[in-house]
Amino acid sequence: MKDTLNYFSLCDPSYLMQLQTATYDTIFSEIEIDSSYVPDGPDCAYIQHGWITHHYEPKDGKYVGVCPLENTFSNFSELRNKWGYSKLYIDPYQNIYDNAIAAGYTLNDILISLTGIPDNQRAGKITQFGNAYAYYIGEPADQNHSMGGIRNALISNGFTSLFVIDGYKRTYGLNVCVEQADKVLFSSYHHWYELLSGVWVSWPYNSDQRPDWSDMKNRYGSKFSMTWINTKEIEEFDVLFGHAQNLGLIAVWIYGAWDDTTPPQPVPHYNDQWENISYAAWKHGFLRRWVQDVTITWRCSLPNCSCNPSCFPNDYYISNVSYGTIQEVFQ
Amino acid sequence: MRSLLLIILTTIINISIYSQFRLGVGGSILTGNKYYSYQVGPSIIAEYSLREIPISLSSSIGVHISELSKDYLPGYNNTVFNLCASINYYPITWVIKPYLGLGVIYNSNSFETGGMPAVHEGNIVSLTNVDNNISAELKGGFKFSADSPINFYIEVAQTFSNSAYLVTYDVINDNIIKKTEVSIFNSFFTKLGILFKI
Repeated sequence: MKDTLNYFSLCDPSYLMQLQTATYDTIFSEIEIDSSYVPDGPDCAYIQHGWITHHYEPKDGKYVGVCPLENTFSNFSELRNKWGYSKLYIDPYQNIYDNAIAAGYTLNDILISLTGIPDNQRAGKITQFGNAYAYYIGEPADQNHSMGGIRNALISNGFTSLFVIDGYKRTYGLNVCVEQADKVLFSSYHHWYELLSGVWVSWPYNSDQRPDWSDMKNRYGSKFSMTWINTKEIEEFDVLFGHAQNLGLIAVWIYGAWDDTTPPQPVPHYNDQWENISYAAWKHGFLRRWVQDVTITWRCSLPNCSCNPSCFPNDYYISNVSYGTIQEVFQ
Repeated sequence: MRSLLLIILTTIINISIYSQFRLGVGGSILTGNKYYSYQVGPSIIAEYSLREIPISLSSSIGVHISELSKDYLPGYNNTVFNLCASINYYPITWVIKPYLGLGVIYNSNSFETGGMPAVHEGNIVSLTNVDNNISAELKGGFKFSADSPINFYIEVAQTFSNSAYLVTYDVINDNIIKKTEVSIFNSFFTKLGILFKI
């Protein structure tokens, strides 16, 4: 950032407006300005004070889990330590597990997917990874995945890991699967309704899945105590976390979504929405939030400044950014 | 040249005088395509029959909702808006008219995954080459009470179109494992409908 600031101070004033606007929008987009003032003095400085998200932490009795698209140490570390996601979904590979542990997750924080693993290899995977937070099969009813080989392996090893599944059509098939599982999540980001007996449709497409969550709660009670929110969502995090709060869910899992291209790519806004997600989770009681004070000093770039406030920000450049105390904020 | 124009003009006038329009609604249900669990939907139909020639021209606009088979690509739905133009030939003139037809259909496909991506042995399976397309249609059916103001019809139709691809992708190691050609747009439909003379 220092180089960027130096660069600005050397710029021709004619470039300053667009460059500063771009810089302010990108580097400082997370700053929430709470006051601006012009102090006395000959240099026409313009001071902005605000605060920036420092990090989030889990709240007692609630948590946010995440199924990320990048299985690197640095990504896991950021998701856990900055954004507050205290549970992690991983595929059953040792190197991914090792990255999770290195990033600070414990075995008790990790949900391991055995979707697609043949039944006769699941016990071996469970023995390999141990008494994890949970083992998971994705959409067994909707995708015809077997649930075999998990419950017996957990019992024979004496593990207390949860057996977690998900689904979206509340069919007889899902009911049978839920009976065998400890927890069930709602896995679609569409609204699904029963058009005819046993025929579930999502047409016309409606991305408000809140009625489905309510229906899941009514049908499955305490087994529906957590659900997925898909990163394909863009602006719905607030209402979704709000509904999770209303239903008394203890957890929300964030599902990192691929787009529909081949090879699959993360959805376009994937890397830009963690703040929105965690902010919504904090707002509705799933996370705690810490912020840090920030002071931005702008200075006039003209040879003969008039100190006219209307010249800001066109004729100003960012001279200094200083960070202050870190404190928890409450709703 | 003038005589040719006169012949064409006379023919058009004759067709106009002796033809008739019908409007109606219909419904179709997929009865033959292993890649789908179901596909069903309504349509609005306009038909233009020629009295002196046992031929009709018809067009329709419709929507199909569908879900792909769990055996091939679970969790995928497709909403298809289609526009169809066809020509039908009636070899027998009777109260029940059998007919054969050829059509061209423009399909606007909208594939969506229901929830999680389809997973096979730990790898993501996706469907490609499923953009909007054009298909040909070969059909046959019976029109009942053909001479009355209200007709009922039952029809079977086979569509032919481009293939799609099922791609199995290893996201952990970032490579395509398998790419399989699938004929998900070649479908056999059974259709029912009612037409009103206007």
